[in-house]
Amino acid sequence: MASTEKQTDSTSPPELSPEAAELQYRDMIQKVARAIAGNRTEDVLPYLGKKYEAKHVEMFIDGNFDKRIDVLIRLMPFVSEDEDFPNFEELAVEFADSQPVAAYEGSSEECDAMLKWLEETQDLTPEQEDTISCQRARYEVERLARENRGAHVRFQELVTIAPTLMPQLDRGDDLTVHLNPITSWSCLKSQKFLDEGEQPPVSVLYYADEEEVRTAMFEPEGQMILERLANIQPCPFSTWRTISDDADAAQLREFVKGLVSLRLIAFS
Amino acid sequence: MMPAIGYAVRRENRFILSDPKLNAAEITFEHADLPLWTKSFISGDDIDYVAIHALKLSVGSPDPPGKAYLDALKAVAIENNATAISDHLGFTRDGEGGIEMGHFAPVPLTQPALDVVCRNLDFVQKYVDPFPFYIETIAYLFQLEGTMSEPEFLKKMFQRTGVGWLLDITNVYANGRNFGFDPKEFVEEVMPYAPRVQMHLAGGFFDEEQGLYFDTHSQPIPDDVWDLYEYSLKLGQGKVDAVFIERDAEFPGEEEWRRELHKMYDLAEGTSSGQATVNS
Repeated sequence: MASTEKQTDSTSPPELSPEAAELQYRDMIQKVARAIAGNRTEDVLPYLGKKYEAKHVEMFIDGNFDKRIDVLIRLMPFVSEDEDFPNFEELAVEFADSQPVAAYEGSSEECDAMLKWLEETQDLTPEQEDTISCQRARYEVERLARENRGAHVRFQELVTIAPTLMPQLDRGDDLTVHLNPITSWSCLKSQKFLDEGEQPPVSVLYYADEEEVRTAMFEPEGQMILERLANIQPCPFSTWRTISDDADAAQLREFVKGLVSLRLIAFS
Repeated sequence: MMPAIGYAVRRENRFILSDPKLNAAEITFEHADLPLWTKSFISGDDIDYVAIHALKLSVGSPDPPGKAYLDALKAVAIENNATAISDHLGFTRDGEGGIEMGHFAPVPLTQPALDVVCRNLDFVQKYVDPFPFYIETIAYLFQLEGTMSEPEFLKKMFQRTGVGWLLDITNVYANGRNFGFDPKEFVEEVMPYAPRVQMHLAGGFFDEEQGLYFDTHSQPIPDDVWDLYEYSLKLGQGKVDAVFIERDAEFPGEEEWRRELHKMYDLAEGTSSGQATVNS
């Protein structure tokens, strides 16, 4: 294959300095990338190689757009599969059409941006708001696990032996208490995800359990005790008990048993 | 030298990781970046060669790849005891403060593009050290106006950066068939300059209406691609480190997964032992 790099003729533009050539390159990539992201085939044509036609660019743009919609549907299952969002695909197309993805942002940032866009542009019911809040809390749990991977893996190892250590707490041993480090609080405003007899608003804790995101609901007192633990853990059980003055030792031990069964706290 | 042989790992083909003829696996970074997992993506299998395949380094963009993405990529490589890392020769975004396009477009074959790509490849290779890095030549539907041929661009890139070549056999076949060049001549011209090589194989389909072959990773590998694979193995003898089959849709039954793996293995074995042809 013959090189065309050194072809020059009387109509060739004067050679640019490397700096000027890079600026020109940057400008071209910017125009082409924005035209592709904005579905503007005509703006790519001035830069297209001679063998290629508008239909080739159109096919590329269409394929790109379809992939973006597929990712939104796949990575937002809580919303895309929810009966309160029967028109999710239409909304995803509207979002993708109007909101470009910022450079260096990944799929999770894009999904987050779509949740925000839904809140800002749609007249949401409390049930839809709860769905969005659940999806967002799940992303937050994943984000925390990504940023604190070591702590997540260590806690998941530790939590497997919590039930066997629990009897020591009943005997009065002063075990060190560890709270699951990957948690995120949210509030449900509708009855949608609540059991019969529960009244919104309800505080919900989302947390990592092995490879899943699980939820647990708490009364305000329970949430307060957990939040106090979050501020001082890992700590001896006796320290936690001292600052949990709303609950006596027996009540706290019962509460702890519940948290162990939820795999929310561990001991060492 | 016999290359390591394996599949790009998908949920549908995990069972094949225990096949005696498989000793390599390629993990797509985006599939393995699972923050809640407490085990590595590849665990419990005896795999000699693990490659992490990335999608968004965008080495054709004027600004360098994002450090957060590189950090996560390296973390997944370490966690999975990887041998190598790879991504594509293209651009998926413009620059700082700009936008993402989603999929990679081909870089223009020009000197400024070559300078940017080489600078970014130097940056990436330094960042992911000690993992050797490979760059995949992509299938394209169009190219931007250029001043040199693709082989010429690649030769200069390999000479300047020492980066490995992820030669996607089906991409070269598709580009050659769609835009009128001989894929064998292409590989012949570039191979001597690639310091080390990985390969991809896949099957797509020819769209009669568009007059184009699409590398969809959804069909059995066509005979012409097997032929180009065998030819490329001979040209790259001694420096092909690993070969992988990619399949992403219309997943076959177990027999077909194994048939293609064994054929890939047999052809590589035949080439490294000097046998000319191997029955399918």
